[in-house]
Amino acid sequence: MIEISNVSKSFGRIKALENVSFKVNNGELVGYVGLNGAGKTTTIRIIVGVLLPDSGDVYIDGYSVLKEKRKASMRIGWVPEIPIFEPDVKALDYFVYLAGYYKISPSEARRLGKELFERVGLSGTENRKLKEYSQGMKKRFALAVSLINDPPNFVFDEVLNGLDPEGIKFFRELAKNFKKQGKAVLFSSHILSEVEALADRVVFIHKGRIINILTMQEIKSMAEKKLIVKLDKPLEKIPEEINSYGVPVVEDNTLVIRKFKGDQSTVVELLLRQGYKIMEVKLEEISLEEVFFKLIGEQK
Amino acid sequence: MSAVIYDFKRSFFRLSTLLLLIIFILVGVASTYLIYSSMIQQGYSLDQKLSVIAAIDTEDNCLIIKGYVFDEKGDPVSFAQVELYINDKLIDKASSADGFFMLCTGTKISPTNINKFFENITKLAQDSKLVVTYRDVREEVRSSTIMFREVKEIPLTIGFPRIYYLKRTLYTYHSPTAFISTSSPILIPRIDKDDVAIVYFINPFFSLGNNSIEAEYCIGNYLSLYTEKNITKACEEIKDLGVLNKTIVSVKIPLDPKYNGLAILIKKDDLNTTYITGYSTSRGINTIYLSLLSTPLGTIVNFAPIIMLYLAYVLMAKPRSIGALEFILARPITRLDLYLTRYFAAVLTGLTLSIAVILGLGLSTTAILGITPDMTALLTIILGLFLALTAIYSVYYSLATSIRSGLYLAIGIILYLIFTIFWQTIVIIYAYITGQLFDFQKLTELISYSYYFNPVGAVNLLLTMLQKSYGLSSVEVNPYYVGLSVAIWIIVPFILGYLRFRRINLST
Ligand SMILES: Nc1ncnc2c1ncn2[C@@H]1O[C@H](COP(=O)(O)OP(=O)(O)OP(=O)(O)O)[C@@H](O)[C@H]1O
Ligand SMILES: [Mg+2]
Repeated sequence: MIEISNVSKSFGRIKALENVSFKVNNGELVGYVGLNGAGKTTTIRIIVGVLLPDSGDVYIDGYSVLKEKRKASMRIGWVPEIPIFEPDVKALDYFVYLAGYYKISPSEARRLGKELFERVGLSGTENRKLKEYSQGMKKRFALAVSLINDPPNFVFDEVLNGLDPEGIKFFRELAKNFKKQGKAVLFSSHILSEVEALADRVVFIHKGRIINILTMQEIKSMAEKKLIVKLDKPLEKIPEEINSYGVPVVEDNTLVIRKFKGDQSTVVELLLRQGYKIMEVKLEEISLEEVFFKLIGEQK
Repeated sequence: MSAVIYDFKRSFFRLSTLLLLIIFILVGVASTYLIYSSMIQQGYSLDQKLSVIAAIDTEDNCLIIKGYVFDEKGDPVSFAQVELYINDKLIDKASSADGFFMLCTGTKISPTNINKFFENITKLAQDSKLVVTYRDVREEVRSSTIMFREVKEIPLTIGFPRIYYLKRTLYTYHSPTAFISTSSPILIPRIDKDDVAIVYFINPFFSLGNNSIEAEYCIGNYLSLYTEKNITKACEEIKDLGVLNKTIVSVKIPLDPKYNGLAILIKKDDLNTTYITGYSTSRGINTIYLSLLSTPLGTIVNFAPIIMLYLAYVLMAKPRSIGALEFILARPITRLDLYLTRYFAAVLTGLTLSIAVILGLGLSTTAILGITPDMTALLTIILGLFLALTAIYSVYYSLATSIRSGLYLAIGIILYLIFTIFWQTIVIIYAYITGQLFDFQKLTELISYSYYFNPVGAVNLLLTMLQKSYGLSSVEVNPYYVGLSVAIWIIVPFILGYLRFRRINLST
């Protein structure tokens, strides 16, 4: 479980995070969504203990990142947005070095390294220097490193960014497995639709503040189709058949059918038959991104 | 711990470190050759390993020679062939047993014919030599005559000028000044543990009548003992050696490593004479070696900080600047752990380098000069080099935690130049400004003391202490100040660096 508690952080005069609090439960995949510069990476760096917050704390399975960093770090894996390594070292050697921090012997680390390199699709590049790795390869390497001790919590910062389709597929499988294994997973993205397929919940951050936390269910319901029909006069009674097209709502001389499904022309025909004149017909489709912007907009 | 080892390996087994290490070892070997050739140039003979002390005495109305031979370890040599030549004519030969030998000059004396006796002795003094052969070593020892220091006129009834043969080699325990003057018939072939010396000296009185003497000794500064008219003023404390009556007297005297001069005061009736020799509690060759060592050591000390500048760059400045430390910090470690790991990785490299460099120097010394350098001296130098490297690393490391890598290199190089290449120039400019430039003693002290204020000063300070203990330097360096200086140079930047590192944002 990852628990972010009242975290604030400023960089000089820029307030990057203000009182950020949320939780990622075990067995839960949580998306962390916000625009560029919203504060996602800052939050994640604080979660993994590499950046110190100005106030607040993060608890990984109950261990404070500030006070019990070793125990907290032991329980969380991290794939950074832009992984940076010491450039002149060979990949597998660096893996072995990092594994040393988990008290894994060099020979064991070498064996584990080869296995994980294989798993993340890096086999055959073990002896290349890290500076010769592409961005995607660096992400895969960071992923391999995060798997060293199979921790119960993970944070992935824009992990799909820079991965090829094969990599994206691999990551999706991995995340689903983590969920099955009861791990807590937080992954950030600035595209809501990217988290759609995976997330159970989404935490929205905007300008350093958490503006909403919604389940995927709630988001999807916001991202509905609406049929709006303006009539010449107020609708007296909603025709029975309309109910099969969605949830009708009447407002003066406007009929709105939320969660609209079906053919709009049949609805128009139906109303015409009832003797109404149709002034305007509009099919509104709200995408996930629009929901996202709407959420942000509400916040402005 | 394993991370320290890994970072250490990474710092040590990198081309630049190994290259510098090899260069330093080569500097060590080359320096040893330089030391060797300058020893030869200054007339020191490394092949002369046997030391000899012998004196003419009388027995059965015959002039005889009694003496001792020692090897380079100071052990008495048995089966050494000793020949006496007068005017290149072999007169007598003998083989030593337990170091002792006795030769007959073939010259009869009659105590009644003093003039004839005196004539014989003078002739011997001029024309005789001893040739000592042992294994493949052959030594020629010419004779000298004892100079009585405080006795202007010696009544023949009491004594004659004593002819003696003395060969002090680089392997005996005399300070280098004593190699130049052979006027004192004192030989210190060996010093046991606890600095107790086996001292041989020649009784100035023949066994003709009664040759028993009362002897005392004192130790002090060699130069003071030599120049002070009233020797007791230059003495630490005069101690009794008792009544002695051998031709060549051997006594045990505890030598104080603090001093470098030994005076033996001999009394017989109203006659007083004093022998003075310079000593060192290390073999002469070690002393010379140490005095010549400061040049190559200076070279190493001048260049070694570059390694530390570079290591702090590789281990801290660069990865911190590019943001690579974050990924490491995400491991189950604290910032302090990370800070310590990369600190001690380089410190360990510094230690390995110090040991390797000095060991290289030591081994080439053994190979080229054929001597085992004084272990205490070597360990002191290793310690000095190690402390200096650690201190300069502390300075660089703390810089590396706070400034970006380009600026780090610029400042690092400037500091390097100040603390090594330009240091003496700076001190000399300071001396000029404060008007101490033309007082040689003051200037020497100023340069020595200036190293308290230099992170790489530990080597120079410890070397000065060593040289002082060998009588090679007159500058007194306070070991507590050395400790304090080293501790401050190591700890203060280390802590300042950590205070900065503790909070710093490690991303780019
Ligand atoms: N090291 C830093 N120094 C100064 N400001 C910073 C630093 N890191 C982040 N910021 C600022 O903090 C704010 C949040 O940045 P952050 O990287 O967390 O955003 P993000 O949500 O991850 O954006 P993106 O989607 O582009 O990755 C931004 O205004 C950014 O400019
Ligand atoms: Mg980001």
